Amino acid sequence: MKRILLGIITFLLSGCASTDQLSSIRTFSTAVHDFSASANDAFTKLNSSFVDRNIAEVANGDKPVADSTFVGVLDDSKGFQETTVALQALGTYADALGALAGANSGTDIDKAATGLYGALSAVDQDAGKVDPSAPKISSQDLGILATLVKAIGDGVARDKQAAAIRKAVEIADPAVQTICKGVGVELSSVRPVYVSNLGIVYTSEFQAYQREQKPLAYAERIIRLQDLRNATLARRNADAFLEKLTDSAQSLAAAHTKIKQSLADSTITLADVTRAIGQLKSYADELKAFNADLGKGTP
Amino acid sequence: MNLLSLLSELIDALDVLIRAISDPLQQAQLVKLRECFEAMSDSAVHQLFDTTSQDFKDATIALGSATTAAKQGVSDVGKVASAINSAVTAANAVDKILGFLAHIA
Repeated sequence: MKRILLGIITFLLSGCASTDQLSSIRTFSTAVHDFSASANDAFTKLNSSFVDRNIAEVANGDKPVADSTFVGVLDDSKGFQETTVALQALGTYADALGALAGANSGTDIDKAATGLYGALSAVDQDAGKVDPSAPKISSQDLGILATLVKAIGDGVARDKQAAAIRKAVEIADPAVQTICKGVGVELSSVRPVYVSNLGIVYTSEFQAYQREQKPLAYAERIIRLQDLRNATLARRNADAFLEKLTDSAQSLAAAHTKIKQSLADSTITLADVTRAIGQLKSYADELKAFNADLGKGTP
Repeated sequence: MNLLSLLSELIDALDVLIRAISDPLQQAQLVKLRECFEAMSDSAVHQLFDTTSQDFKDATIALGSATTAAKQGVSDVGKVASAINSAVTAANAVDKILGFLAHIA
């Protein structure tokens, strides 16, 4: 009787642990989704800062207008384009992982698994573009994952669901690490250029104000000065935003590793995982707020 | 520090100097120089450099000196001419690794 009771308790405890792990993965999925959206938004703003800069200089009479005035410098940058695509793949992977962790029926599992296979293939390809020496996902690993997904069954056995996720996280990890590292490198290299571009926009507006202020009425001057203030704020916020984004990429890589370790090794506590994901989630939330502010402050 | 960061630092310093001075001729010269560094920076985004070459080292030193000179020009109007000369020297040094001025000539 005691043995049966012990068995039931053990079963319940292991069930609880899997459920907690699945819940962590759903939080991770949401945080990565938000991070990916913020980062993509930042890259778009960054590229458009070149055009903003050109337009400001043309309007200030520093440069003649040309077709190139309206071309973002990063449009032709292979590294920039590959990083942007890789970021989207990362977001799709996290969404698929979250869907698998949240699946409650055999149909949900099938749907989530199809998304996951596609996402794994995308992160694998994109990581290879960011760093050609990155390890590839083997077809053998994908076969094992497919078997594990099938084993979850219509009743959605939680421990089997966790086992399938464990395999997915394990085989995706090298690609996730490569993409996060690539995003960090790309952001670090273009961050000062972005800030300079916004600085030039500010200077052009500043000079225009100096030239045109005399005939302006008080109220009009106030409006122009507020515009100048917004331009300085946009510059300051952009720098802080990109710094946070770089930190987030590192944080995402760390959280993914922690999840991988916790699923494979029971010595990693759920608290460790929660802390790592919490850090990522807090960054992702801050980035959302930053993005909203940048929208207001962009000249 | 990488070339893009150094170019951006100089552009930022020139920007501050442009806003700080009132001589229209010096302002115009500085705006032209800033445009030149902007174009170099745009071009450098797409390139990889041999960071061990002497030309690269000379360019980074010249960019650092020009940034310092531009910052000094902000607090001392008498040093603006010297800042402009330093920026010209830096533009030529960077051009040695980018081949930028020859390309657009």
